[in-house]
Amino acid sequence: MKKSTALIFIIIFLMMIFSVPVVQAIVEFKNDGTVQIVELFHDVSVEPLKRAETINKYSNEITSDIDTIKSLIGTGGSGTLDSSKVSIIAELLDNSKNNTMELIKSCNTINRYVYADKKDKRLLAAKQTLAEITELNKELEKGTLLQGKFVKGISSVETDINQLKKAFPEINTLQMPLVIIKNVFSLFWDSRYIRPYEKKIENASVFATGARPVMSFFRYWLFNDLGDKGIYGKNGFFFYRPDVQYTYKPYISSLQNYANPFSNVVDPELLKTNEFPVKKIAEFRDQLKEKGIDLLVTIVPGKPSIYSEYLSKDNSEKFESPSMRFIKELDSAGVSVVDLFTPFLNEKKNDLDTEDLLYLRKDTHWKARGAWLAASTVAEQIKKYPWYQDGTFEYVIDTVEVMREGDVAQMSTLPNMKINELRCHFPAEKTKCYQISKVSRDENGEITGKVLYKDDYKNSQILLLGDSFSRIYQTDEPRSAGWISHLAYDLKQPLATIVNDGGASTIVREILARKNYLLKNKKLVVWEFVERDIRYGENGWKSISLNGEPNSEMPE
Amino acid sequence: MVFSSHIFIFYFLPLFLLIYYLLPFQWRGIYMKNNWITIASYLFYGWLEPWFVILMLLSTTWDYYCGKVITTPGQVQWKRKAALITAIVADMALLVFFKYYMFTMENLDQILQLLGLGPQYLPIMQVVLPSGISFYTFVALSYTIDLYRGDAKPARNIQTFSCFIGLFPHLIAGPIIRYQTVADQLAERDHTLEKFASGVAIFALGFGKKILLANPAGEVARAVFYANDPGMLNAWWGILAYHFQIYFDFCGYSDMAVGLARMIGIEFIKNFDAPYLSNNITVFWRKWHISLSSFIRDYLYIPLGGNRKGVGRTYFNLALAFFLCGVWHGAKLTFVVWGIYQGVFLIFERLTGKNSVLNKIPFIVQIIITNIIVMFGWVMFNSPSIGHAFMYWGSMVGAVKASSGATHLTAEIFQSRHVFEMVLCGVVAFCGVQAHDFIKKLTVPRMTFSLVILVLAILAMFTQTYNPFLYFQF
Repeated sequence: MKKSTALIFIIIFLMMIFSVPVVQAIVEFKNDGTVQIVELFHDVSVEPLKRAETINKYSNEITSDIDTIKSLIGTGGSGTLDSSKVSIIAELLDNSKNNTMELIKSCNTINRYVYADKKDKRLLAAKQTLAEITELNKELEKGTLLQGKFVKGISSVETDINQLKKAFPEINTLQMPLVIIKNVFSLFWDSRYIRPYEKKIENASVFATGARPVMSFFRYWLFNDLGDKGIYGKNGFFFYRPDVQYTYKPYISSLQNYANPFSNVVDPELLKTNEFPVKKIAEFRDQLKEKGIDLLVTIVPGKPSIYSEYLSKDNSEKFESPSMRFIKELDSAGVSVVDLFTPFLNEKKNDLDTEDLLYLRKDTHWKARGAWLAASTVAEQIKKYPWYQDGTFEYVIDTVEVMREGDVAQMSTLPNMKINELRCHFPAEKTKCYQISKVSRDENGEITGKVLYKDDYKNSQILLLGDSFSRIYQTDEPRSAGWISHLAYDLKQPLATIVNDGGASTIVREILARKNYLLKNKKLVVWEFVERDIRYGENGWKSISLNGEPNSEMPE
Repeated sequence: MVFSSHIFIFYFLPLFLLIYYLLPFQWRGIYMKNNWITIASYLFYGWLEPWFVILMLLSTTWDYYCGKVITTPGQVQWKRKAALITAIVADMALLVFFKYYMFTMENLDQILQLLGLGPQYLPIMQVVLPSGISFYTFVALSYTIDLYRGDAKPARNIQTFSCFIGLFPHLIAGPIIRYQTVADQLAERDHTLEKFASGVAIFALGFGKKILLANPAGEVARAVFYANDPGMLNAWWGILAYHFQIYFDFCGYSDMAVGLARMIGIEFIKNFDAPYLSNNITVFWRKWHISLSSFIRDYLYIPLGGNRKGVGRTYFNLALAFFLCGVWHGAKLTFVVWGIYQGVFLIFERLTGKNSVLNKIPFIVQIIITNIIVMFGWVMFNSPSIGHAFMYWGSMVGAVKASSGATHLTAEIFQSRHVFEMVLCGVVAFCGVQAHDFIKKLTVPRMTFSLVILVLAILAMFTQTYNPFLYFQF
């Protein structure tokens, strides 16, 4: 090997590895005057100082308010508070409450990447302060607060604040270098900081962000590869990868055998949670039962469970979704559940006659035909409840057409990519929707008004919890044409709804717990989730109590 | 830090090389360079979990001073022996605690429960395994044992020894280097353009193996291994994918380690030598993870008597060596069974010797049979439990019926991209040209090829989310 050749080779290599950070630094500096790699030192030194300063500031403000309150109420006693002072104290408490909220925010955020541990003593002290102030405020509003109890409450707040002030003392200029060194050591040597920092550098890289779509494009162009999220099927069908994986991974309850080293069923994904959906659903059913409310579970089939033949060789006769076993287990646990799989598979046989599909080709969701079928199947089940009576609302149907760009196509990040003559284009799919409107008539039966379907939180007997299958066509274009509207049409009454994309396993119940007034006047909760959520539901399947205090008021 | 990461390639490596080559070459420059290697290595290691640096530092200091006691001129024998034993005990205690504490406690807990001795779980402390601990404790062990045997000279000072233990190219996943193989290089080494260029080339090839071959194969293997009763075809495709993944992942890492070391003038031994072209398991173990096999041979098999103490003892030694090789890989019964499985084949080959029927069949068939035996072994190695491995073996031989979702798995893992990547893996694994041979005569087309691989691998790295090194867990 000639020395000159080796030198050229080495120079090219060095240019490659040096050019990336240099170009990155130039671009970052040009864009916002900072360089990410240098920000590291800012994050571990200056940010924690600022945080300490903020905590100190708010703690002092709270202390000052507390002192004023103390001077107003005196030393205590068994009588109620002097009514002339109540409004001033309430104002001071409100102010302290706002300051405490800021305090919690600062205690929780160490810097851009690191959050305090949930069990962090200082964070707990700040939260405790907020709880105490809120309690005092409530009692004050009720007018039942005794002076002695108030003094006790205030001193408790004072103790917590003093604890915080001790943890974050004022730092003078001389102490600053030492504190910075301490911060650098305690934070930089912390993988909680390093991992997100590394991720941030990777994600912010101009080379990486530039290369990703190009690589995705070529992978699609060469191999019809849709990336991490999608799987390319037959006849223009795109499948969402977790939908497909759900159908071939071990059944979720098998996890119970995991502890046994000789078990033949293992699944590291499920090790993350030890929550068995059947148990959690039955628990939710019992919580509702205590309130005199029924639960009806509706599991939406994923596209691979219905259109298996567009994914692999025709296996549709033999294929049975693992959800069928789940439905049986729910049934055995005494949970009412609607089987949508059988009607969907039956209805699929009419695809040719209707020249329509039950699901969108490049999307995870159903078409209006699927939504309509789900609504009528569930409505049929609801009508069997002894308390059920048809509503009095009159709804009409209008047929409208919308264009849907498939979500799987979108997730592949491929649409709109064009490199010279090569381009990748997934045309939007036209789909017919059935839009539901409520009509009002005059005494002669003539229609006097027509408004699009709207939920009714106060008067509805039915509350629906759902995911994106409840959102599509309903709050998306064309609006009021999703399965919620269809269900309302079948039942002749509006519904109350809580919808969260991907969060039907736990998040919707968390929202319900925060707004549990929505359960007032309800006879039934319909809980819709897509089958893959049994395994992949966001936040798993947690136990949620419905008996807490709601954190907002019933909407008008 | 991981070699195949953005932060390593574009920040750590340029900064490391820049400072390394800015430090003087004359006078005591080499020691300054060694100190810089140590600092950078600790940063490299600390990036994974900063506090583990302290653990490594303690272990390094302990082994160094034990080595000093062993090699003190005129030292009495019992003190030398005591120093050796304390070094071995300390290193093994560290390894055993971090690697096997939780495994032991969890299994003990299960046994107690099976015996009906209470429904309560034992209080088990959560212990995080420091990456690379199995590698650097073995490296440290080899140092003290070699000093005791008189096979190596002691490190000049603790800085040199820290540099040897910490040397970031081999720190986390080997190769397991011996002190005497690098001792001279730590005192004096050449920095030539040719050496640097060959380092770049082998690094690029290793990087390509990891990103372009191992990671895509890993996607297929992962999908199949965690599927419910995958069926015969999928099971074979899945284990073939893992066969490629583990080879290119580990061999790629070793190549990168060799390349990085060469960039700073240090030569490492090669760790792989076309192992999938072996015609029996004995040959396979001479070509697979060479530094571990030779470590086990020199520090375990031979001290136990090797083949010098009769046939029965030889088989026992072999079985024990491979049992411990399995245990070294991790605290899981599957690794133990895998080690025993390897040992059984080695004993069988020794028993049948050259008269084995296997030796009379065509060479290519011997290679195929060896690969199949190795693949069956990998099933146990990669399975999360023994029961799972049996289920997987059952699927491979058609004894376990495929689940109804298996056709969906087929659709996912036989996508044209996966088929292309698997064919590519097959070609590279069985072509017989090794990275070490490739760079021996570095011509312009070969350099160009290395750079093209590097660019493609970097572009692919930007798009990959699945990027672990399998041997990091050991």
